[in-house]
Amino acid sequence: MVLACATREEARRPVLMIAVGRQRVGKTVFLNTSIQFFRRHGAKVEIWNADTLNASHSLSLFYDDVREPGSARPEDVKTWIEGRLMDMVVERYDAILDAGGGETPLSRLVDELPVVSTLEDEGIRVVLAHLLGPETADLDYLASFLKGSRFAPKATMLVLNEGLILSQRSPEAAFAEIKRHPAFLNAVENGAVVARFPRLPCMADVTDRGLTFEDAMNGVAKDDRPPLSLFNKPRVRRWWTEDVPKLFLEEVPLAWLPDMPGLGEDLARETA
Amino acid sequence: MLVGPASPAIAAPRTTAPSTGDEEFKPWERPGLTPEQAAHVKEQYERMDRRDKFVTRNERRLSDEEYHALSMEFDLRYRNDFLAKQEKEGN
Repeated sequence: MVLACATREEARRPVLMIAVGRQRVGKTVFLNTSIQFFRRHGAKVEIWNADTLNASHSLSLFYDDVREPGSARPEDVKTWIEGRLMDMVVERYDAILDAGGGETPLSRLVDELPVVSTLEDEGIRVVLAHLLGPETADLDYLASFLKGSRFAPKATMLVLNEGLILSQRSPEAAFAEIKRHPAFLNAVENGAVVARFPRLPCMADVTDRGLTFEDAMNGVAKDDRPPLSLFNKPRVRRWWTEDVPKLFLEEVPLAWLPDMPGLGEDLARETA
Repeated sequence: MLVGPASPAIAAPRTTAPSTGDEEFKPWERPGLTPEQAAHVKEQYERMDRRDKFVTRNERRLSDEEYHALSMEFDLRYRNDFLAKQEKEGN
Protein backbone atom coordinates (compact mmCIF):
# COMPACT_ATOMS: atom_id res chain seq x y z
CA MET A 1 0.00 0.00 0.00
CA VAL A 2 2.85 2.36 0.86
CA LEU A 3 4.45 1.54 -2.45
CA ALA A 4 1.19 2.26 -4.27
CA CYS A 5 0.93 5.65 -2.55
CA ALA A 6 4.52 6.50 -3.36
CA THR A 7 4.02 5.60 -7.00
CA ARG A 8 0.86 7.69 -7.13
CA GLU A 9 2.70 10.60 -5.54
CA GLU A 10 5.47 10.39 -8.13
CA ALA A 11 3.04 10.16 -11.04
CA ARG A 12 1.09 13.22 -9.96
CA ARG A 13 2.16 16.69 -10.92
CA PRO A 14 1.71 19.44 -8.34
CA VAL A 15 -1.15 21.73 -9.29
CA LEU A 16 -1.13 25.52 -9.26
CA MET A 17 -4.70 26.75 -9.60
CA ILE A 18 -5.32 30.39 -10.46
CA ALA A 19 -8.63 32.16 -11.01
CA VAL A 20 -8.83 35.04 -13.48
CA GLY A 21 -11.61 37.21 -14.85
CA ARG A 22 -13.11 40.67 -14.71
CA GLN A 23 -13.68 42.37 -11.41
CA ARG A 24 -16.57 40.93 -9.40
CA VAL A 25 -17.13 37.72 -11.33
CA GLY A 26 -16.71 35.54 -8.25
CA LYS A 27 -13.04 34.56 -8.37
CA THR A 28 -12.52 34.62 -4.61
CA VAL A 29 -15.82 32.86 -3.89
CA PHE A 30 -14.92 30.16 -6.40
CA LEU A 31 -11.46 29.70 -4.89
CA ASN A 32 -12.88 29.68 -1.37
CA THR A 33 -15.32 26.95 -2.40
CA SER A 34 -12.55 25.02 -4.14
CA ILE A 35 -10.22 25.15 -1.15
CA GLN A 36 -12.94 23.95 1.21
CA PHE A 37 -13.84 21.10 -1.12
CA PHE A 38 -10.24 20.01 -1.65
CA ARG A 39 -9.39 20.17 2.04
CA ARG A 40 -12.57 18.32 2.98
CA HIS A 41 -11.15 15.41 1.02
CA GLY A 42 -7.70 15.55 2.53
CA ALA A 43 -5.84 17.94 0.22
CA LYS A 44 -2.84 19.75 1.67
CA VAL A 45 -3.06 22.80 -0.49
CA GLU A 46 -1.22 26.07 0.09
CA ILE A 47 -3.23 29.28 -0.18
CA TRP A 48 -1.59 32.38 -1.62
CA ASN A 49 -3.51 35.61 -1.43
CA ALA A 50 -2.11 38.27 -3.75
CA ASP A 51 -5.43 40.09 -4.03
CA THR A 52 -4.39 43.00 -1.86
CA LEU A 53 -7.35 45.16 -2.92
CA ASN A 54 -10.03 42.78 -1.65
CA ALA A 55 -10.28 43.38 2.08
CA SER A 56 -13.88 42.44 2.86
CA HIS A 57 -14.02 38.98 1.25
CA SER A 58 -10.40 38.01 1.01
CA LEU A 59 -9.34 34.39 1.49
CA SER A 60 -7.40 35.52 4.54
CA LEU A 61 -10.69 35.98 6.40
CA PHE A 62 -11.54 32.30 6.02
CA TYR A 63 -8.24 30.52 6.70
CA ASP A 64 -5.49 30.87 9.28
CA ASP A 65 -2.74 29.58 7.01
CA VAL A 66 -2.99 31.98 4.07
CA ARG A 67 0.31 33.34 2.79
CA GLU A 68 0.34 37.00 1.80
CA PRO A 69 2.95 39.31 0.27
CA GLY A 70 3.06 41.71 3.20
CA SER A 71 3.03 44.70 0.89
CA ALA A 72 0.45 46.07 -1.54
CA ARG A 73 3.03 47.56 -3.92
CA PRO A 74 2.66 45.79 -7.28
CA GLU A 75 6.43 45.26 -7.66
CA ASP A 76 6.63 43.70 -4.19
CA VAL A 77 3.66 41.47 -4.91
CA LYS A 78 5.19 40.39 -8.22
CA THR A 79 8.47 39.50 -6.50
CA TRP A 80 6.55 37.66 -3.80
CA ILE A 81 4.63 35.58 -6.38
CA GLU A 82 7.88 34.74 -8.10
CA GLY A 83 9.31 33.55 -4.78
CA ARG A 84 6.28 31.39 -4.04
CA LEU A 85 6.50 29.77 -7.48
CA MET A 86 10.19 28.98 -7.00
CA ASP A 87 9.40 27.42 -3.61
CA MET A 88 6.61 25.34 -5.14
CA VAL A 89 8.94 23.96 -7.81
CA VAL A 90 11.43 22.86 -5.15
CA GLU A 91 9.01 21.62 -2.48
CA ARG A 92 6.43 20.02 -4.85
CA TYR A 93 3.08 20.93 -3.28
CA ASP A 94 -0.31 22.02 -4.59
CA ALA A 95 -1.22 25.69 -4.34
CA ILE A 96 -4.06 28.05 -5.04
CA LEU A 97 -3.37 31.64 -5.98
CA ASP A 98 -5.88 34.45 -5.69
CA ALA A 99 -4.36 37.05 -7.97
CA GLY A 100 -7.26 39.52 -7.98
CA GLY A 101 -8.92 40.98 -11.05
CA GLY A 102 -8.00 43.23 -13.94
CA GLU A 103 -4.37 44.33 -14.29
CA THR A 104 -2.49 42.49 -11.55
CA PRO A 105 1.09 41.86 -10.47
CA LEU A 106 0.61 38.35 -11.85
CA SER A 107 -0.27 39.69 -15.30
CA ARG A 108 2.86 41.86 -15.16
CA LEU A 109 4.93 38.80 -14.35
CA VAL A 110 3.30 36.92 -17.22
CA ASP A 111 4.06 39.79 -19.61
CA GLU A 112 7.67 39.65 -18.54
CA LEU A 113 8.31 35.90 -18.46
CA PRO A 114 6.88 32.68 -19.99
CA VAL A 115 5.51 31.65 -16.60
CA VAL A 116 3.34 28.76 -17.77
CA SER A 117 5.93 27.00 -19.93
CA THR A 118 8.64 27.55 -17.31
CA LEU A 119 6.50 25.96 -14.59
CA GLU A 120 5.31 23.15 -16.83
CA ASP A 121 8.91 22.36 -17.78
CA GLU A 122 9.49 21.94 -14.05
CA GLY A 123 6.60 19.47 -13.78
CA ILE A 124 4.02 21.85 -12.33
CA ARG A 125 0.51 21.73 -13.78
CA VAL A 126 -0.84 25.25 -14.13
CA VAL A 127 -4.64 25.27 -14.02
CA LEU A 128 -6.39 28.45 -15.06
CA ALA A 129 -10.00 29.02 -14.07
CA HIS A 130 -11.64 31.77 -16.13
CA LEU A 131 -14.67 32.99 -14.20
CA LEU A 132 -17.48 34.09 -16.48
CA GLY A 133 -20.89 35.59 -15.85
CA PRO A 134 -23.69 35.90 -18.40
CA GLU A 135 -22.46 39.29 -19.68
CA THR A 136 -20.62 39.27 -22.98
CA ALA A 137 -18.15 41.77 -21.50
CA ASP A 138 -16.86 38.84 -19.46
CA LEU A 139 -15.95 37.17 -22.73
CA ASP A 140 -14.27 40.29 -24.03
CA TYR A 141 -11.94 39.83 -21.09
CA LEU A 142 -11.41 36.18 -22.01
CA ALA A 143 -10.75 37.09 -25.65
CA SER A 144 -8.22 39.77 -24.81
CA PHE A 145 -6.65 37.46 -22.22
CA LEU A 146 -6.16 34.61 -24.66
CA LYS A 147 -5.20 36.69 -27.68
CA GLY A 148 -1.47 36.24 -28.06
CA SER A 149 -1.27 35.40 -24.39
CA ARG A 150 1.63 33.55 -22.89
CA PHE A 151 -0.70 32.62 -20.08
CA ALA A 152 -2.82 29.98 -21.74
CA PRO A 153 -2.10 26.62 -20.14
CA LYS A 154 -3.57 23.46 -21.58
CA ALA A 155 -5.48 23.01 -18.34
CA THR A 156 -8.00 25.82 -18.71
CA MET A 157 -11.46 25.83 -17.18
CA LEU A 158 -14.24 28.12 -18.30
CA VAL A 159 -16.25 28.48 -15.13
CA LEU A 160 -19.78 29.72 -15.75
CA ASN A 161 -20.85 31.35 -12.50
CA GLU A 162 -24.56 30.76 -12.09
CA GLY A 163 -24.53 32.97 -9.02
CA LEU A 164 -24.16 35.99 -11.30
CA ILE A 165 -27.56 35.44 -12.91
CA LEU A 166 -29.50 38.20 -11.25
CA SER A 167 -32.83 37.79 -13.00
CA GLN A 168 -35.08 34.74 -12.79
CA ARG A 169 -33.67 33.42 -16.05
CA SER A 170 -32.56 29.83 -16.22
CA PRO A 171 -28.80 29.22 -16.56
CA GLU A 172 -29.51 27.73 -19.97
CA ALA A 173 -31.06 30.97 -21.24
CA ALA A 174 -28.63 33.22 -19.39
CA PHE A 175 -25.54 31.57 -20.86
CA ALA A 176 -26.96 30.84 -24.34
CA GLU A 177 -25.16 33.79 -25.89
CA ILE A 178 -21.94 33.03 -24.04
CA LYS A 179 -21.85 29.48 -25.40
CA ARG A 180 -21.97 30.80 -28.96
CA HIS A 181 -19.38 33.53 -28.50
CA PRO A 182 -16.26 33.06 -30.68
CA ALA A 183 -13.91 33.52 -27.72
CA PHE A 184 -15.70 30.81 -25.77
CA LEU A 185 -15.77 28.47 -28.76
CA ASN A 186 -12.10 29.05 -29.52
CA ALA A 187 -11.15 28.29 -25.94
CA VAL A 188 -13.13 25.03 -25.98
CA GLU A 189 -11.66 24.06 -29.34
CA ASN A 190 -8.23 24.55 -27.80
CA GLY A 191 -8.99 22.10 -25.01
CA ALA A 192 -10.67 24.19 -22.30
CA VAL A 193 -13.29 22.40 -20.24
CA VAL A 194 -16.54 24.04 -19.22
CA ALA A 195 -17.58 23.92 -15.59
CA ARG A 196 -20.70 25.37 -14.02
CA PHE A 197 -20.36 27.00 -10.61
CA PRO A 198 -23.79 26.37 -9.08
CA ARG A 199 -25.76 29.18 -7.50
CA LEU A 200 -26.16 29.39 -3.74
CA PRO A 201 -28.91 31.95 -3.11
CA CYS A 202 -27.66 32.76 0.39
CA MET A 203 -23.94 32.87 -0.48
CA ALA A 204 -23.52 36.37 0.98
CA ASP A 205 -25.11 35.24 4.26
CA VAL A 206 -22.40 32.58 4.56
CA THR A 207 -19.40 34.62 3.44
CA ASP A 208 -20.40 37.74 5.39
CA ARG A 209 -20.30 35.61 8.53
CA GLY A 210 -16.88 34.23 7.60
CA LEU A 211 -18.27 30.69 7.91
CA THR A 212 -17.21 27.55 6.12
CA PHE A 213 -20.01 25.86 4.21
CA GLU A 214 -19.82 22.88 6.55
CA ASP A 215 -20.32 25.15 9.57
CA ALA A 216 -23.04 27.16 7.85
CA MET A 217 -25.17 24.12 7.04
CA ASN A 218 -24.71 22.82 10.58
CA GLY A 219 -25.98 26.03 12.15
CA VAL A 220 -22.71 27.23 13.65
CA ALA A 221 -22.67 30.84 14.90
CA LYS A 222 -19.59 33.04 14.72
CA ASP A 223 -18.56 36.43 16.08
CA ASP A 224 -21.85 37.21 17.85
CA ARG A 225 -23.81 36.79 14.63
CA PRO A 226 -26.72 34.33 14.60
CA PRO A 227 -26.48 31.08 12.66
CA LEU A 228 -28.06 30.84 9.23
CA SER A 229 -31.84 30.88 9.10
CA LEU A 230 -34.00 27.79 9.20
CA PHE A 231 -34.33 27.52 5.41
CA ASN A 232 -30.87 28.70 4.45
CA LYS A 233 -29.20 25.83 6.29
CA PRO A 234 -30.76 23.14 4.05
CA ARG A 235 -30.03 25.36 1.02
CA VAL A 236 -26.33 25.33 1.92
CA ARG A 237 -26.45 21.60 2.69
CA ARG A 238 -27.87 20.73 -0.70
CA TRP A 239 -25.45 23.02 -2.54
CA TRP A 240 -22.41 21.84 -0.59
CA THR A 241 -23.11 18.11 -0.54
CA GLU A 242 -24.76 17.69 -3.95
CA ASP A 243 -24.09 20.58 -6.34
CA VAL A 244 -20.45 21.37 -5.58
CA PRO A 245 -19.21 17.75 -5.82
CA LYS A 246 -20.80 17.54 -9.27
CA LEU A 247 -18.81 20.58 -10.35
CA PHE A 248 -15.45 19.13 -9.38
CA LEU A 249 -15.99 15.44 -9.95
CA GLU A 250 -17.96 15.45 -13.14
CA GLU A 251 -16.79 18.50 -14.99
CA VAL A 252 -13.06 18.85 -14.29
CA PRO A 253 -10.29 16.27 -15.00
CA LEU A 254 -9.01 14.87 -11.72
CA ALA A 255 -5.40 15.54 -12.68
CA TRP A 256 -6.21 19.25 -12.76
CA LEU A 257 -7.18 19.25 -9.09
CA PRO A 258 -4.95 19.12 -6.01
CA ASP A 259 -4.31 15.67 -4.61
CA MET A 260 -7.26 14.59 -2.45
CA PRO A 261 -6.14 11.36 -0.77
CA GLY A 262 -9.43 10.93 1.10
CA LEU A 263 -11.68 11.33 -1.91
CA GLY A 264 -12.11 7.69 -2.90
CA GLU A 265 -13.02 6.62 0.64
CA ASP A 266 -15.29 9.64 1.15
CA LEU A 267 -17.22 8.82 -2.01
CA ALA A 268 -17.50 5.17 -1.16
CA ARG A 269 -18.85 6.07 2.30
CA GLU A 270 -21.34 8.61 0.94
CA THR A 271 -22.57 6.21 -1.76
CA ALA A 272 -23.01 3.30 0.67
CA MET B 1 -56.18 46.24 -57.04
CA LEU B 2 -53.85 43.84 -58.74
CA VAL B 3 -53.15 40.65 -56.89
CA GLY B 4 -50.35 38.54 -58.30
CA PRO B 5 -49.10 35.15 -57.27
CA ALA B 6 -47.22 35.10 -54.03
CA SER B 7 -43.47 34.92 -54.21
CA PRO B 8 -42.38 31.25 -54.03
CA ALA B 9 -40.13 32.13 -51.14
CA ILE B 10 -43.11 33.36 -49.16
CA ALA B 11 -45.69 30.90 -50.33
CA ALA B 12 -43.65 27.71 -50.10
CA PRO B 13 -44.75 25.58 -47.18
CA ARG B 14 -42.18 24.80 -44.51
CA THR B 15 -40.53 21.47 -44.99
CA THR B 16 -38.56 21.55 -41.75
CA ALA B 17 -39.46 22.45 -38.20
CA PRO B 18 -38.62 26.01 -37.15
CA SER B 19 -35.40 26.46 -35.27
CA THR B 20 -35.75 26.31 -31.54
CA GLY B 21 -32.20 27.32 -30.82
CA ASP B 22 -29.53 25.22 -29.21
CA GLU B 23 -30.54 21.83 -30.57
CA GLU B 24 -29.37 23.02 -33.97
CA PHE B 25 -26.18 24.53 -32.65
CA LYS B 26 -23.45 21.98 -33.27
CA PRO B 27 -20.11 23.71 -32.84
CA TRP B 28 -18.27 20.40 -33.12
CA GLU B 29 -19.23 20.35 -36.79
CA ARG B 30 -17.42 23.60 -37.51
CA PRO B 31 -14.99 23.23 -40.41
CA GLY B 32 -11.31 22.97 -39.69
CA LEU B 33 -11.49 21.01 -36.45
CA THR B 34 -9.37 17.92 -36.00
CA PRO B 35 -11.27 14.78 -34.94
CA GLU B 36 -9.84 15.18 -31.41
CA GLN B 37 -10.98 18.80 -31.21
CA ALA B 38 -14.42 17.91 -32.53
CA ALA B 39 -14.76 15.11 -29.96
CA HIS B 40 -13.69 17.44 -27.14
CA VAL B 41 -16.05 20.23 -28.21
CA LYS B 42 -18.92 17.75 -28.54
CA GLU B 43 -18.24 16.37 -25.06
CA GLN B 44 -18.23 19.84 -23.51
CA TYR B 45 -21.42 21.03 -25.20
CA GLU B 46 -23.29 17.80 -24.54
CA ARG B 47 -22.32 17.99 -20.88
CA MET B 48 -23.60 21.57 -20.71
CA ASP B 49 -26.82 20.41 -22.32
CA ARG B 50 -27.22 17.57 -19.81
CA ARG B 51 -26.68 19.97 -16.96
CA ASP B 52 -29.20 22.42 -18.38
CA LYS B 53 -31.76 19.65 -18.52
CA PHE B 54 -30.94 18.56 -14.97
CA VAL B 55 -31.31 22.09 -13.58
CA THR B 56 -34.55 22.60 -15.48
CA ARG B 57 -35.97 19.37 -14.14
CA ASN B 58 -34.98 20.34 -10.61
CA GLU B 59 -36.67 23.69 -10.91
CA ARG B 60 -39.87 21.97 -11.93
CA ARG B 61 -39.82 19.36 -9.21
CA LEU B 62 -43.02 18.77 -7.37
CA SER B 63 -41.83 16.89 -4.32
CA ASP B 64 -38.71 16.04 -2.37
CA GLU B 65 -39.14 12.40 -3.38
CA GLU B 66 -39.04 13.27 -7.05
CA TYR B 67 -36.03 15.50 -6.54
CA HIS B 68 -34.13 12.82 -4.65
CA ALA B 69 -34.91 10.24 -7.32
CA LEU B 70 -33.51 12.55 -9.98
CA SER B 71 -30.59 13.48 -7.84
CA MET B 72 -29.72 9.84 -7.20
CA GLU B 73 -29.82 9.19 -10.92
CA PHE B 74 -27.47 12.08 -11.50
CA ASP B 75 -25.20 11.14 -8.58
CA LEU B 76 -24.88 7.57 -9.73
CA ARG B 77 -23.86 8.67 -13.18
CA TYR B 78 -21.27 11.16 -12.00
CA ARG B 79 -19.85 8.70 -9.49
CA ASN B 80 -19.61 6.06 -12.19
CA ASP B 81 -17.96 8.61 -14.47
CA PHE B 82 -15.62 9.53 -11.65
CA LEU B 83 -14.59 5.94 -10.95
CA ALA B 84 -14.00 5.33 -14.66
CA LYS B 85 -11.97 8.51 -14.89
CA GLN B 86 -10.00 7.61 -11.78
CA GLU B 87 -9.17 4.23 -13.24
CA LYS B 88 -8.19 5.76 -16.58
CA GLU B 89 -5.95 8.37 -14.99
CA GLY B 90 -4.39 5.83 -12.66
CA ASN B 91 -5.33 7.71 -9.50
